[in-house]
Amino acid sequence: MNLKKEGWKNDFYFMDILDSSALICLLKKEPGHQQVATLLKGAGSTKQTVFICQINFTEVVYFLLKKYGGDTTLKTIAGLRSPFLGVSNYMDSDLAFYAATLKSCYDLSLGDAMGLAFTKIMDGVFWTRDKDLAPIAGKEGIGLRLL
Amino acid sequence: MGIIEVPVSSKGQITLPKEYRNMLHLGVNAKVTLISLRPGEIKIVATPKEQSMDAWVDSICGTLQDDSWDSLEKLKKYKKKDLELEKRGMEE
Repeated sequence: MNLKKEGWKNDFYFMDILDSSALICLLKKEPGHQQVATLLKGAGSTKQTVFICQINFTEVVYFLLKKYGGDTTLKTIAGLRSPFLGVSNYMDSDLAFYAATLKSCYDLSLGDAMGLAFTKIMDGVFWTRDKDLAPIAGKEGIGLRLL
Repeated sequence: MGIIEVPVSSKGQITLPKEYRNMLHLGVNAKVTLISLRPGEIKIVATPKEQSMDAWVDSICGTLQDDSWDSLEKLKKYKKKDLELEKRGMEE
C-alpha cells in the first residue's frame, strides 16, 4: 500500500503508528495495553487505520516465533487481521535517508530508526513502551506517546 | 480485510482462506458481500460489523498473557545484541 499516493498523509488527523513493543504489550496484556486497546477501538469507530511499519511488524513476528513457536505465531498473526490495523510497506528515498541518519546519530536498532522516521515523514504519533526513544523523538520533533 | 479472491470448486463451493477462518474462530463478526462473479472465480468484500470492533480488540488483548517475563526487557536485549553484532561487523 502506497500510503502517500493513497492520500494517507493529510491534515485531518494524526496517523497513529505502533512500535513492536506496543503491539506485543497488547498481546501479552502488559503495562500500556489498555491505551493500545482504546486506540484500536477508537480507530474502528472513526474508520481510521492504525499502522505499524514493516520492520516493526517483522520484530513482532520474530519475537513471537522465538518465544512461542510457529503454530502460536501463525494463529496470533491471523488474529491481528483487521482493516483498522495495517502493516505499512511505504518506503521511499526520503524515508530511507532519514531512518539511516537517525540510526547513525543515535545508535538505534533498524526497527526503532525506521519506526521513528516513518512517524516523522507521516506527521504521526509513535506509540511505544521504550522510554529511551522519548528524548530522541523530542530532539527530532517526532510525535511520541509513551505507554 | 478488504477484497479477497477465493477459488470456486466445480460444485460451486467456495473455501475461505485459512487466515479468515482463523479470524472467524476468534469471533470477528464479518459481513461478506458478493461483488462480482466470473468463471472459476468469485470476489467478495469482507467488512467487520462496527460493533464487533471492541470484540476483536478484546479477543487479541492478552492472547499471549504470561506474567513471568516482560516483553520490553526481552526486546531491548535482542536489539542490543543486534547492535553489538552490527558494530563488530562494521569494525572488521
